Amino acid sequence: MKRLCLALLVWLAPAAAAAQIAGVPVDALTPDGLERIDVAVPERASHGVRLTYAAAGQATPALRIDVLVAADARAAADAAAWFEQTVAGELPALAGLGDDARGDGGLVALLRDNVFVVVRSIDGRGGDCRARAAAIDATLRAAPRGPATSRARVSVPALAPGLTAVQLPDAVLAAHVAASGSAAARRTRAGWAVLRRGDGAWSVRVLAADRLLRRIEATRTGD
Amino acid sequence: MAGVLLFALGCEGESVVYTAGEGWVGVARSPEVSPDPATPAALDPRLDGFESVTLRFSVAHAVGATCAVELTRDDETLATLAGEITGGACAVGWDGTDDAGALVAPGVVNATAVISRGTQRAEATTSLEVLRLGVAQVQLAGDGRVPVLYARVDGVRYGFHEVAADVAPWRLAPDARETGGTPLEEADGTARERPAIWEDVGSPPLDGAADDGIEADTYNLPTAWVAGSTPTVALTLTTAHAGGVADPELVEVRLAPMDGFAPADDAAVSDGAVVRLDATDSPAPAVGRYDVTWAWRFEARRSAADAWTPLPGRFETTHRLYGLAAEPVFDYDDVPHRAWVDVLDRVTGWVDGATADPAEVAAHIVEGVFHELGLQYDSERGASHYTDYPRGWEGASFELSRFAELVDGTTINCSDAASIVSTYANMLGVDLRYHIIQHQFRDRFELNYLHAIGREFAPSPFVSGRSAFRYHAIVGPPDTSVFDATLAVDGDDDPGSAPNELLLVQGLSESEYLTRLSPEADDVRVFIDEKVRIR
Repeated sequence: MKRLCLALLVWLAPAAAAAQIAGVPVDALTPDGLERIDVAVPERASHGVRLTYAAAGQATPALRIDVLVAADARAAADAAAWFEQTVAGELPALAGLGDDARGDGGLVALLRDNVFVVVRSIDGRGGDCRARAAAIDATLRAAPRGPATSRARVSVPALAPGLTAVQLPDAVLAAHVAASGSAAARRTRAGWAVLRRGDGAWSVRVLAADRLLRRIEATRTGD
Repeated sequence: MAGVLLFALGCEGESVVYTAGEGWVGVARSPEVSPDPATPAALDPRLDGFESVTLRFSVAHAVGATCAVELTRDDETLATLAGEITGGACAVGWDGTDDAGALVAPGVVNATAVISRGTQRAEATTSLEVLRLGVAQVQLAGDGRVPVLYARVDGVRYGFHEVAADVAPWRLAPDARETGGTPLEEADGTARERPAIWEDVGSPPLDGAADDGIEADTYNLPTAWVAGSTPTVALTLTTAHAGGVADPELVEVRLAPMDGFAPADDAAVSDGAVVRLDATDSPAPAVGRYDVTWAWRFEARRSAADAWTPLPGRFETTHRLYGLAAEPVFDYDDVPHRAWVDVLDRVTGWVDGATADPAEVAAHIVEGVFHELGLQYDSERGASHYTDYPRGWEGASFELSRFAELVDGTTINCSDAASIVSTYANMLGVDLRYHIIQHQFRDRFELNYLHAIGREFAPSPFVSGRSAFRYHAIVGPPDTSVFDATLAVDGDDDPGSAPNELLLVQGLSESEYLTRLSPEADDVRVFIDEKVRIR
């Protein structure tokens, strides 16, 4: 009996992993007529990667899509539930989208499997978010299945006095670097760098997302 | 006149024949001339406002004589200037140029006054020194100075650049790639342009050749001060010119006393000398943006026995100081938790020197956010666009970098307004924290008439007509008074119905605020007392 249970668990584990979305191909999310102009990685793992879009050839942001590829469906559902709590008004339910969807033409919160997406039209320039969300949901349904774990790795370099560049592998779509103590992070046109001034303990965190919008993190401390 | 002259002739010996215009003949003494100690001992024709220096010689027995002043250096005549004899003096104005109109290079110049009358000739020589005087660096130091942060560099979001409180904000120097120049002059002798106040509040000045891309040679950055602070000004003086260093040789030069400053030391002017002065009045007496122009003047003397004489002209430097209510107050100490220059510029413009009182400053911030930023409440649903909460109301984070560029638009909710107001306040030294309001027992609380930001008074802030908040975020100082830029309440006796009287929430007591906000004031709770984390 014990052997049977173990065998069942072995079967269930890959099945659970296969049921969830391994990641969301970022380029497949780009809505018709728009182009991606910015990617921001939030500090907290509980928040989605922020993708900002503008009308083709323009710089004024029109649409924002926040995509959280959570470790599992429960974490994504928790994020969706908490998001609703942070809305002072109400988000009416939307039928036929994802496992659950709420919102209106200006903002849609969409949950499917282990992915939670918020689509918002920026000052009305992004079109009807319900249509945008439907397209995103189609992308989610077609997304690869498997563990939502990135194979990409990021690292924090040893800091020298002055500016130290943070090198990111090609697999990384975007990153945010945070530093404290005697270090301060700064984004430059060439990428992220960390400025070290004087002595003292320092801590640097690299928060990154790969092209499937899965988070990658690395932390290093020194003194 | 003739009678007086004849009387003089009768009393004095060593007479010579004198022919006057009237045709009579007599005898007179030879003209006499001597340098007037009031003549400035030095000059710098490049100083602001310099027009000329008056070379003055005392003369006697010079009726009918002419005067000229010859300027020489190393037996070379630089210029010959025709003067006038009036009031017992031969006076000549010299603009610092030679006969060809070129500025005379720094160094000692001999000035010889020649008094001529017929065959009579009298001469007297004095020396004066041509200098290059100026300021290569202005450091503003003091306990009241706080670091500031540029949020972007070269337009790059999160390109944080901190200007620490010990960084000299004003500097004049050759570019790192330049050869032969000095702080005051370029290699060809052209006067170097002084830096104007750096007006871009979003980025420091750039230098593509610098290691970090930021201008480090010549710049004029704003500084931030606790209102009422009196900085110590440390001037690094320079006498260098394109031809070399020209420290005073003939004369002693010092910075002239200046109103509003007390000298902390009495250093003589030389290249690289640092002179410190303590401001006696605060250049930033309240919360505001203060642009000041300081005119540094010099004076010289030939010896310790001589009186100091002022040099014509001045060296002006301009500075921008932001006055804050107090040192910035954050719950975090890492960058970017500093006073952002763009925020300081905006908020000090709103307060405009009216006060340094924290509550009054907070009131100005509410008014500015409510009226000036072009924001409007998310009347569709009340979602936040710049503020996140992790998994609970603690630990809110505010995307100030994105808000500064309005990346996510001009539509906000209460969390965003609370983040904006409290962050602005924190940067100005005003201790505001965010609080959350919720119904104690239900998932929403009812609302009175409200005037949401960017909207109109209405019984509901939502287009759906829903007149209830699931939650509401406000800010306040530790004394529990309430500030809120999300909405204005109805200030009349009946906040639950029209007509309405717009009342901005600028320090209302908590009980009054809640009563005006909701008919369920007794059933709501106010909790969370934190400052937001920004990035």
